[in-house]
Amino acid sequence: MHKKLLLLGIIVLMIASPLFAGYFDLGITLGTNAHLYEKELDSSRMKLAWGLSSGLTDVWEFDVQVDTRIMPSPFSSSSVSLLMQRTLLGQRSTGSAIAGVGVNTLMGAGIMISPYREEGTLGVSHVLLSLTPVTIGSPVMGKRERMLSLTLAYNLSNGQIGLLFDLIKYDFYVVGTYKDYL
Amino acid sequence: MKKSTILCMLLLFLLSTPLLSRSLGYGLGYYGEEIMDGPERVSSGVEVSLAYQPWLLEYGNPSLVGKVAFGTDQDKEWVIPYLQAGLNIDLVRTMNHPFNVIAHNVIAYTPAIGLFYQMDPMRESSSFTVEMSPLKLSQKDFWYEFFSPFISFNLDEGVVDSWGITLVRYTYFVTK
Repeated sequence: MHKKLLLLGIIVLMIASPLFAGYFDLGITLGTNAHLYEKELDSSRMKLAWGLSSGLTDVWEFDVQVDTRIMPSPFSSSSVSLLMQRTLLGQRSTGSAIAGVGVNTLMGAGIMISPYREEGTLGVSHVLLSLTPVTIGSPVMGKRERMLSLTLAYNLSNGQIGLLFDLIKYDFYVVGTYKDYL
Repeated sequence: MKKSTILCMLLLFLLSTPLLSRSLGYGLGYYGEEIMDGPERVSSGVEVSLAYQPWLLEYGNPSLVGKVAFGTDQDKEWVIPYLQAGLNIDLVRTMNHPFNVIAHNVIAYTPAIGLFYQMDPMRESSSFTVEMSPLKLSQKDFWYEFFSPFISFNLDEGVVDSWGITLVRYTYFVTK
């Protein structure tokens, strides 16, 4: 398991190398999450989404999202999703003080690490395919809202397909805003 | 015209003046609720609300609020877990706060407390609900509420009936 995580970390770092190309930004994510159609593995009724969103190029970003159970039994279960996402309607960041595209769409793929497997042990549990139809704001503006994200989750342990639904998520950028380009 | 009729009309006119302000709104939220009293039932889903805010006071600003929640329970059954009607009170309205980072525009911080009569149509029971909105932000025509927990008390039996949380709620004021 540790070897797998190490390998994953190295791959992520390799993919993240464009971060030195001048577009790098980093935001803190907060929002809602619901894990649907896999109640036998995850009995959560409501989850809090939190994590980091990191811009790698003007159109690509890497998101780490932890989904923590709120209802029932608060904080009793969590999963971690790692997603590479690309904007479909233009630059997510201009790498300058110019705001750029304020409304966008995100599409991406990734994996989920969770105990939601037939074995019940922690590990890579799902392959993810995600679409966020609407994002408002941008790293340069300092804030972004991601709305109505739908993520198909293919469970590697039993071949079932679940669905992750994020009503709304907020990204608050601490690096890569217009203030850093003044 | 009788004096009592004139008095009544004047009173009605006085009471209706707040209607001239932007005061009637509707809201959408994402709730989760767990029943404590009786068979366990956990549900989550959408909460629809109506709000009437006649004034804009700096301290103790009251609003009338009605809510109904629609969701699914742990057995994937559709449920209406609660209907609520009551009073929402903004404890204070201030522009000096650290939460402007949340909104795109400058916004007022209005932490609120809600006191509601609650009905559970499935159990045909009623209770008294207290809700806290520690992260409520207000603009002229919008309320944004995050992480609002609520707890319901069965007053007849003196026990906690249910508890829950509304992760987000957006209320938009439409009338002028």
